[in-house]
Amino acid sequence: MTDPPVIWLAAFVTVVVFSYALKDNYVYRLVQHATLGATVGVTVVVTWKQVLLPRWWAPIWAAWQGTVVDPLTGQPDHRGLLWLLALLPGLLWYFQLSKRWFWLSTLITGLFVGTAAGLAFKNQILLIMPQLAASIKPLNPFVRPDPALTYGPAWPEPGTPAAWAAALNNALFLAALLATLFYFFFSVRTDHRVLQAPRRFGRLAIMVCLGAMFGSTVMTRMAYLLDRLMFLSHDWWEGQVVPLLRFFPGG
Amino acid sequence: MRKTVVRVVTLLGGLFFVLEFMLPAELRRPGAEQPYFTNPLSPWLNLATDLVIVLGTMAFLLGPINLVRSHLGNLFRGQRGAVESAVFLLFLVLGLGLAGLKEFPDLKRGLGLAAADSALQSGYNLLFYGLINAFGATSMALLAFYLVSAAYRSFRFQSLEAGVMMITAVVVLLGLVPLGTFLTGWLPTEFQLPTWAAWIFAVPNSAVQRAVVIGAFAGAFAAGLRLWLGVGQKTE
Amino acid sequence: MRLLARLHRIDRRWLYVATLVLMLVPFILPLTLPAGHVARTTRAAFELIDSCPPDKVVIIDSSWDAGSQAENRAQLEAVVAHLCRRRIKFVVTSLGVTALGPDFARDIIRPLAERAGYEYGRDWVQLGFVQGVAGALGPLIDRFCRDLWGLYPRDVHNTPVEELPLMQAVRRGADAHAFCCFTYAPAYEWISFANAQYGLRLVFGCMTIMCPAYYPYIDSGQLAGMLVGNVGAAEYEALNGVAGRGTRLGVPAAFGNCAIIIAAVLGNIGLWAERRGRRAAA
Repeated sequence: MTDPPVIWLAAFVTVVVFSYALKDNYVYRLVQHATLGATVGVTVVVTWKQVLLPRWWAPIWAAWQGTVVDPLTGQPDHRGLLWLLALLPGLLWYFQLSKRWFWLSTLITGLFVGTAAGLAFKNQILLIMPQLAASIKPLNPFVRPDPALTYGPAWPEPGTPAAWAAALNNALFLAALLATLFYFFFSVRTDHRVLQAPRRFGRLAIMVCLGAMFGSTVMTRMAYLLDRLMFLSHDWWEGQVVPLLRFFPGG
Repeated sequence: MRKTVVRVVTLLGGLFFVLEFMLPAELRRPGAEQPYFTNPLSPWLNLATDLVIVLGTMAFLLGPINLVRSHLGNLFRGQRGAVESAVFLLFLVLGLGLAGLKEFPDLKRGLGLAAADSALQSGYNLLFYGLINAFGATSMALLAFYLVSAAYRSFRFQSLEAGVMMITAVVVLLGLVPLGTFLTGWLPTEFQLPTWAAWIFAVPNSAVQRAVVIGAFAGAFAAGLRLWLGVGQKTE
Repeated sequence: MRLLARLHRIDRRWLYVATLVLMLVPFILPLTLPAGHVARTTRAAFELIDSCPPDKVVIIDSSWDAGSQAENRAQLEAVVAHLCRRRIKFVVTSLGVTALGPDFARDIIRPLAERAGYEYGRDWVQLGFVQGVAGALGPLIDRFCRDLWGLYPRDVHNTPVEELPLMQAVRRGADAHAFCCFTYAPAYEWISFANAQYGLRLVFGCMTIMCPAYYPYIDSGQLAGMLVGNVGAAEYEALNGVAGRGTRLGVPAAFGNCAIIIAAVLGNIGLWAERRGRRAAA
């Protein structure tokens, strides 16, 4: 988007939001409320246009008009009018706004909670079973494992340093996996002397993972800032301000 | 009574998808051309999906209604923040109007605004790209500053575990950007920072994440079952 | 020592200003750093898309908006540039995350496609947004794989899909050569429904903050490839031979990471000096 008014407005909004980092201020609050209102308005329209209109209203209207024809009988098909019944459960959401009739909204909420719980079975089973299978990794550097049972890069030539490295990596992977599972196992006591080493190893493995997650978090947060700085430096300063400055003597 | 009704509805909500998953797609005797059993629920999956989408989307006005109620109340009671509430309502109407006219050209023609097409498009661009896009993106950018502040105040080298975490974070931070190659490019590939960063993600991080996922699976499975069957909830 | 101890008590606003100044430096000075390492996950994603046969399409799900454009934008640009260079046909969807997704996607894809001489309807199609419900994305994705025409009866311009020549080759999402999802955090249901049931090969383009959680699925083969934030986009651009936004953000990202490391070091030095000073005073 290269329209000058858009870029100037975006630059103004960017600077106003940055000012919040120093101190909350009135201009920021005004811009914040303006954005919230605009976002809500646009989202309502887009949601109706892209979801409810084609999926709910269009079949009802077509059935009412008689424009849909049953391929078997050749007669107008009015079954689309049945979608009107969806209003009954659909409007239950709005009883959340009433203190007295709030309990009616728990029906539709319960329906979706049940749906999500039911879907979670399928989702979790299909997601986790391959994870369990993939945890059984080859540990012998002298034997080439069956390629059909392994993932990732091809196993190196058996007996070579690369095969030893791969086996060591797999052993470390398995050790970290089991140690972490053990660390989070709270159902039995783990304060015995013998169990301290695996607990400690599990904790260190978790720390490595947390360090990696922190690094990833930093990358993302910095990317957000860089995106805006790139806009300010490239689209606004070089694209709008510098050409304006050329109009002035010495510019 | 009410809670029982809600529990029954919750059970029915999940029953369709659980049964559709558990029942086989078809069962066929060896050599037989036709199966003797086909999943009776599979033909209804499309309708069930559409219902889930439509019923879920019908709640789309809940948030806007709450916001409008709250801000209208602020405005009419003349409370603190009335000006901000007025701005919210103004831009809500503006957003609805400009987006509506953009998405529904028939509406534009019906209102006799077809001639102002270019102006309306510019107005929409100002709202969408100049305001919504810029504010949303910059709000996320503020997090970078808070992260610097958090690293300055709380990232302390006070124990072995904290030290391991810090060193890992530094290796990842330098390994993911070209600076890692610049600093260690003269070393053999196995000892360069990007290689170590990739190894950290692929081996220890992957192992720990998988362990957490497997543990969470057991918990989520049990919790989902409890929720679906309404087990352990208080009865009236 | 007292000077060092004061490092522990810097006002956060000076830290913010210093961070801003440090991160503006690479935009002012033309600094370069050597590119080098390409991650295995990025290379796998590139090779998967590059191996698309002429009679197949790649489906791209672009479900990001202003909240995650910082990294998803560069990823989408890099992959679409690759598709256009290789003349691979593609279909664009926005499933379940944000209603503003199609607008953001179109602004990136349309100029690239027009520059490559792509004709809408024949070489690329945008199908628009379908609302998802949190926790119930599974049936949506299942239908996406089984019956794409049923899920998207019309494209984003309200044209029936049966009238679009490209869609004749893609009646089911599972028929695609590969599926790329660009969003803040692609849903796990893509793995459990699309890959596990239909064998659809998946490439995720996610924010760097989410990438550690997806590595177990790379390890198990459930995910074919992954672009990790802007870094992944830069690596993809390097493989494609076309420098873009991801590459341009490499050096500034390095400065940003240095800001965090310096802040942590200053904080630790300040605390150490303060404690030492207190011990000496005691």
